[in-house]
Amino acid sequence: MRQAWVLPPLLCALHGVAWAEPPADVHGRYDVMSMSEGGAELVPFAEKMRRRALAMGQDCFISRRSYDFGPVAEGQRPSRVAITEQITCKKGGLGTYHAEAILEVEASWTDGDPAELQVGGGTVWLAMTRLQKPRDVGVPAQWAAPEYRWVLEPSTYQLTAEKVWGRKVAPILLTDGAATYTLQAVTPDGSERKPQKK
Amino acid sequence: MLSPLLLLLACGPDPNAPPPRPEGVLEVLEVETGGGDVVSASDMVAGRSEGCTWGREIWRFDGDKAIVQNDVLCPADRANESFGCQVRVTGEASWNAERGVFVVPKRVGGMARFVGAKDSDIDPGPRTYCSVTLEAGEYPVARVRNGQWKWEMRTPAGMVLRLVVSDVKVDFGYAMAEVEKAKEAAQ
Repeated sequence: MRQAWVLPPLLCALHGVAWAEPPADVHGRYDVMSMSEGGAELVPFAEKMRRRALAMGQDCFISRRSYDFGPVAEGQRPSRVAITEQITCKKGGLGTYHAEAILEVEASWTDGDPAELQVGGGTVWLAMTRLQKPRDVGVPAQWAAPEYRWVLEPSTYQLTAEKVWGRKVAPILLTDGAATYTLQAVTPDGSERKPQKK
Repeated sequence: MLSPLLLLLACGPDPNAPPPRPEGVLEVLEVETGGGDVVSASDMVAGRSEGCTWGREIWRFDGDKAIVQNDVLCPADRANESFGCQVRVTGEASWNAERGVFVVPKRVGGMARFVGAKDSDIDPGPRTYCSVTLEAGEYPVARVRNGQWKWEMRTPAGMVLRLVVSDVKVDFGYAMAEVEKAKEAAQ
């Protein structure tokens, strides 16, 4: 019996595959740590986004993506998810800054192996202007951050949780078409989240 | 003499007819709360973002989409400086012409936050944060004639938005001057 329990993760480890299962308890914030496209190896998410932006000659790049499911009662699935896309930009008059676009949409679940998460679509657009009015001058000087528009199509994601040992929250593998993202549970300030004591 | 008058009365606009679908960019002028109080749109919108002094909300219905945008102006830590934050969300919405109602099937919320790095001229803290929500539910519309506002729209939360036709472009410089004028008048 003990051998049967040990064998699957051992085989998976030998083949470089994480042993996964449907996520049991999804709540709070998860940050995307790495991603893989078309079955290629996992690469750090922010680095991949930075390189992609450089290749396209863009001034801004996506530096973080988070999925925040909020507090959820035990045994329940979250009914909303706030998806954050943080872009990092550098612009004269503003310096280096992070702009967070947060889209909060309804979520529904189909339990199975893997579990499926359906999210409603939406679009968020944001802009920011810094205004500085020199003394005794009527018109303020203005510096505008580049506008940012992010479209989320209605989507169905497949979710599995990596099997972990010890006091750790299991990372979630989120599959969206050909791309797979590794999501790590974090606290609101972005540090790694430990499991709650029962 | 009498027959043309009767004809005019008979063929006049039906007071029970549903309103036409609102077109263009509509700005909220003021809001009638569920309790019957009336507050300015600026107070309502600025009140959602800590420390902000001016705000506006605009709506647009485009095809099967509803677009709602909040613009807020917040004073910076440095004197004579302010930040304008803008956020807009787009969600599904269908127009029921028989009832004069927009129906939003799914809630969409949007938030924008700008955080400066060490070399940045953007203040740290909550002054560069703004949010907007398109709630799911029904939005009955009424056309207002001879009023300061041209449309009224009831939200699922029970508030009545009084709307005028406006421009999508915001003038934060003008808003900053208006805030300063109001501050001077209050002193």
